[in-house]
Amino acid sequence: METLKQIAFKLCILAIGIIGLNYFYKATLWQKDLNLYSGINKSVKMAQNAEILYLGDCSDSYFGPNSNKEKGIGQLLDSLTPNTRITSISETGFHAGMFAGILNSLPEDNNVKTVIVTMNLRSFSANVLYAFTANATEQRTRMLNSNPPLLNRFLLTFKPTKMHKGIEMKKIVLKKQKKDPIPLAPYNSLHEWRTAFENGTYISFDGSWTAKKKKLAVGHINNYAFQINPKTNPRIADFDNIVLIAKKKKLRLIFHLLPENLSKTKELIGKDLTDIINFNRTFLHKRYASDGVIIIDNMDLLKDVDFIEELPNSHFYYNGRKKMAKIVADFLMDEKLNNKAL
Amino acid sequence: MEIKSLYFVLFLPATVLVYYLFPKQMRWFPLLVSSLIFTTFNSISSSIVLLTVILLNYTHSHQFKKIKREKNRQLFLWLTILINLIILSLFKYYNAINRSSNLISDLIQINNPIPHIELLLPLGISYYIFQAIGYNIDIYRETEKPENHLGNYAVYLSFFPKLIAGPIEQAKDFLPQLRGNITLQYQNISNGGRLILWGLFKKVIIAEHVNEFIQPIFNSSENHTGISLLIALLLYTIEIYADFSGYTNIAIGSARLFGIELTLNFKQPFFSASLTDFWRRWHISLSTWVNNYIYTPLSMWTSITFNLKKWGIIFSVFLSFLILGIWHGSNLTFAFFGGIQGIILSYEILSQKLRKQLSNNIPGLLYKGTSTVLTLMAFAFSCIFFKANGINQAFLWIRQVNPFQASTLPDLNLIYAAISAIVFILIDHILFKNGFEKWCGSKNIVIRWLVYLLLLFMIITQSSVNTYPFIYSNF
Repeated sequence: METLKQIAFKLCILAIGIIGLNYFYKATLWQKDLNLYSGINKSVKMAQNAEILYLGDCSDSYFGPNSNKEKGIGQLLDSLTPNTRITSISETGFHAGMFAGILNSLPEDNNVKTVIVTMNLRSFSANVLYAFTANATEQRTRMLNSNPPLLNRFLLTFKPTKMHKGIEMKKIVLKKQKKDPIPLAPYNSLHEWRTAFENGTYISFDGSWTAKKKKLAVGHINNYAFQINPKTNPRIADFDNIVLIAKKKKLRLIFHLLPENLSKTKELIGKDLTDIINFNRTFLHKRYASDGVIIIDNMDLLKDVDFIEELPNSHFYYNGRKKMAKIVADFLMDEKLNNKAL
Repeated sequence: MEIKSLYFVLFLPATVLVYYLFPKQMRWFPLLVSSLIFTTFNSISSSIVLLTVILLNYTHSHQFKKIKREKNRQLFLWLTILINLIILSLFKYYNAINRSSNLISDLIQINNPIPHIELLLPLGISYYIFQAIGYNIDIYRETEKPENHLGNYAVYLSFFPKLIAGPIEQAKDFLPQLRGNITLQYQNISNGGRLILWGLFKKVIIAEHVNEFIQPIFNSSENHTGISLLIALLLYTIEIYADFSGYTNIAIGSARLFGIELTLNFKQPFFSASLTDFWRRWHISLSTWVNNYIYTPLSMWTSITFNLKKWGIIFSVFLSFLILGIWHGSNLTFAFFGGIQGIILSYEILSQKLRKQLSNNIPGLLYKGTSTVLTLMAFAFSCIFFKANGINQAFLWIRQVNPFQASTLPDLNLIYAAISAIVFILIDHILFKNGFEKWCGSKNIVIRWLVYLLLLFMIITQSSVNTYPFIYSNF
């Protein structure tokens, strides 16, 4: 018994010591590490003086080859709303997990009143969730979790994200595509549907079906044929976390649902796939509207010509980005005219 | 399961808790189960191989007493050793043999007769196979009685703190502890914790940081010659030491939490005045094993059979260290590493008288200092083969390491790293000569806790985000 008391006493000292170390770390090395491992320190500094913060993914940072100097959606939005300070933070590979971290890192004395968060339907699919860029970003979000800073630093090293690459990554995606159900009888999973499509048992291929067109169609199935399960989908957990942080920080939250090339999807696969897309779209509206989140839905805003690639992606030409920015800007201006606080 | 992982940080205390909740005579059970969980984390095949080796050697060890004729006992021992070596070789050398066979088959244009199977090295196989062989030899020699309790025997081979990279325990040291009356003692918990902390510091702060400085030099060795490469090489020996002795500290510390003492594996090796002395202080459990089960019987055999005295010893030393080298892996470089040790040790045997005379004519401190530096340089030189991926690379480094040729100036950061590493060795070898845990025990509570918190802080905040497995876990 005496031994147990001694051990318990020392464990208490250790716990107090660790709490002290956490404060010491926060006051000394934390900011440096945050910048080093998550690379968002600069962004957060920029963000804290903005009235509206636009958080974007690759849609806001990739504009096609040799087009680096073009403006992103957030910047276009800023130019369309001259009397409002809008700052955009975006990077390729950014996703809701990273956005939650950025919001979490906003200091108490910030000026931000409204946050517009990019919501990308494809980012809920296994195809995107387990891609390598997502892995790498996952590692960066470690330091942005709402844990005590010392615990985040500990987890960064002692629980590193597994960087799945190549065949290993494909296996993980395939496993999810085989396991996760889809609302399309008689096919129970994306894998079953894709197999039926490839075998020609879902639709019979006529002469117009070239190898390229088939590959493109499979790309659309891979990106859209899923049903969001709120209990298991990690992206839902990320968006839920954003809602919680926004409530805690008293921020008004807008989700900007990005355009998808729906006309192409319909042309290639047909109503079955657009129905699944709309099913997930409605789900997202319902889930977050009840939390008081405003959803600006631009999903069917753009035509085929506005998309940079043929395969589903969130990369848009200038005109496409400008159309989106205009819709969001109009919404913000209407709100302002109606005297609603931004 | 990686030692430097959240899983291990949670797994170890949970196992300790469960262990002490079990009745004393049943404590082998949580140890065995946790060891199997630990192994299965690596791969299920690792656990299957481990269990096979346990059952095989347990059964064999009980056969010796049933065999009456000495000749048959001897044959049975050889059979036991052979089976163990076949298992070890299958996993350790099969892939290399297959690759060589492939090359030869291509040259003479026939089909490779060896089937292509990529075998993964089961966790800790080199260590527990050596333990099992040593145990059977002890039973044969009747210096040890066969363990009747299968659970205890299974823990002897599989005990997870020492599974990845030893120490290679002798049955006479380990098994009596399991049979004994282990109680929860504060001293064991506190010393165990201190050793784990110091081991983690060595691994995470010293070894990994040294690696990050020197690896780029080895990666682009064509741009680094002379002094830079020499410093990198000397730092590499410190990296191996910090990495391996760090692991050993964690292993000994973890075992102590269960009230079990493991063998000391290092004893200030960088202060050795000769390579003979060095191998009494470096990877002690392996060199003891080699001494007990290879060198001694071999030198006795050469002495009795061929009446070879000094040359018999030299032959035995060389062969023992060659085997020690090959034990590390199938790459030819390891044979060179062992062979070099053998050559230098043979030279030390032959020059014993000469060195004795020299030591009488030179001031003690100068002689000892020079010997220590030369020993370190000799070991560092052999480490070229330990580090290199192939013989060609090793010889390239040897050509480039010549400090007298026109050389690139060492980077300032490399010099800082070297100074820090030397300071670490001095602290480790002088201040903590009797063990970090004892040093802590001798300090007052404030200093002690400041040291703990400082180490903990450094381990958490200065550890690399890259994953570096323990060097010796690859063997």
